[in-house]
Amino acid sequence: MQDNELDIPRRLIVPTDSFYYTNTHEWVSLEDKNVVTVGITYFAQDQLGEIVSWKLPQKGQILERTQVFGLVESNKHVSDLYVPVSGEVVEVNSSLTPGLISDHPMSEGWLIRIEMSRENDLAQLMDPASYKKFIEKELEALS
Amino acid sequence: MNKLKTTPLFESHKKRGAKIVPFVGWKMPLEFTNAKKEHLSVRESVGIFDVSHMGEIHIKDPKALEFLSSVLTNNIQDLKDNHCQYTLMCNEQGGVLDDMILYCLKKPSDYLLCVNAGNTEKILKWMRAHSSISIEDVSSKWGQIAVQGPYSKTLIEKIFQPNHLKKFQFDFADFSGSAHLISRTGYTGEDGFEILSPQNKVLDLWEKLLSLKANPIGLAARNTLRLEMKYPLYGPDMDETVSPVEMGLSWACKNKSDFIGKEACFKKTQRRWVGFEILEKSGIPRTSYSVFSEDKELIGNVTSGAFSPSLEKMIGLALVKKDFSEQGRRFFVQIHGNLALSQVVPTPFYVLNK
Repeated sequence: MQDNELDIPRRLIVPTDSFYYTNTHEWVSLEDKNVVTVGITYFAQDQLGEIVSWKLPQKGQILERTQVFGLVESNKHVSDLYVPVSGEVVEVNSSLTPGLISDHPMSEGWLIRIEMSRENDLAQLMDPASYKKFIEKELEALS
Repeated sequence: MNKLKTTPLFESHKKRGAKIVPFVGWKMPLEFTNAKKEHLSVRESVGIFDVSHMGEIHIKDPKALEFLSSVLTNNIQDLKDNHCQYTLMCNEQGGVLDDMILYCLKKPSDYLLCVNAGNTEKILKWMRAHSSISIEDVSSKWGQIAVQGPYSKTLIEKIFQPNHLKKFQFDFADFSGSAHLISRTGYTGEDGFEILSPQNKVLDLWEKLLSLKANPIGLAARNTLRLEMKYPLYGPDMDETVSPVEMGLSWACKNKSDFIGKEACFKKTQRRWVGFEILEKSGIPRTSYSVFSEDKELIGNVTSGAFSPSLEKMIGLALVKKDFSEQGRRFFVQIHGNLALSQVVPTPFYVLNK
């Protein structure tokens, strides 16, 4: 996927292929079988601005859906990250840089990979169309 | 955000797609494009800031100098016509009520104070409680634009003739048929000007500056720019619980007269306001985060901090026990449950390219 290839405001970009979304602005992408990649959405990054620091769990850690698993922060805000699906952390993005996470939050700037312990957790998440509606509502509330 | 005030430039900011946030009772632009780019553009070229929210107080009275000498900390007696100075107002306990710029329009009877937006009412009330001379709130008459950066003079020359103005001098000049007050001052450390523009002209001036390719700058960059210079921000960095001397602002307390809070200001205290940088990977040191000694003793707290866009480091300001204030002194800042090793460094953090 190419970042920002479309001529729409970046914060409104909601990639559709195999992405699921939370109402706390994390994205989940199903890699194979029961392993998912997790990151923050363009909307989240745009609201935060340049991300300069983050705290992530370690490989092997068991996470429960909706618990806080880490944080990202910009000069403006600290933002907690919430576990979108329960499972074990099988990989942490070790090549993360402020540039990667700020410029490509939905590709190279991914955060962690989780091996799901309950597959139907995905069904609890928003599909791209619902998430798009959700962020448009948030934007309205902000303006 | 219903009851928040807006500046005459608000609609223009919204149209440009600026991110708007509430700030001390005003709807202000946080960033226009990207705070980091905005910050660097002020360091490298020139940026313009909407600071129309600032409060302006006009003191025109034969006893103006006499009265102001009794409430302001700096040496107003030495201030000549068309000069301005950084000064503070304190309460009886020596606590800072506000910091401000004082413009001498005509010594000894005509002065203008530019105060922080959130403190305008408080300062008016305070002054009126201590004097019956003429003190007028003229905040609603004036908008204000700051032009800051190494190319600010080049830019301003296309509109005004500022060549005779040295640092902390000001003059009046015409734009669009109205008198504007232009001072060579700012809050970024860079060369620059602050222009008081009548409410009904400030949008024209803003649009004119934009048409000359000036970058509009939001509050986020304004904050990191001032932080790199260790300029205090009223509220997070100082308030009525701290004295100018503790803040290292005794250079702005040279008033030889007896001003309110003077004695208390100069009483020996055990705290100092220092600049530090974090020596390891960490989060951002934020307002009110605790500072600990190597022996895990609580020695103070962070007043503000950020990831410095110019230096690409975590930097911060903290009010700490005096014993921990000398350069090179190490301490820990508690950030998200971790203790981040930090060190007192020389300030300003950012050294200007001269």
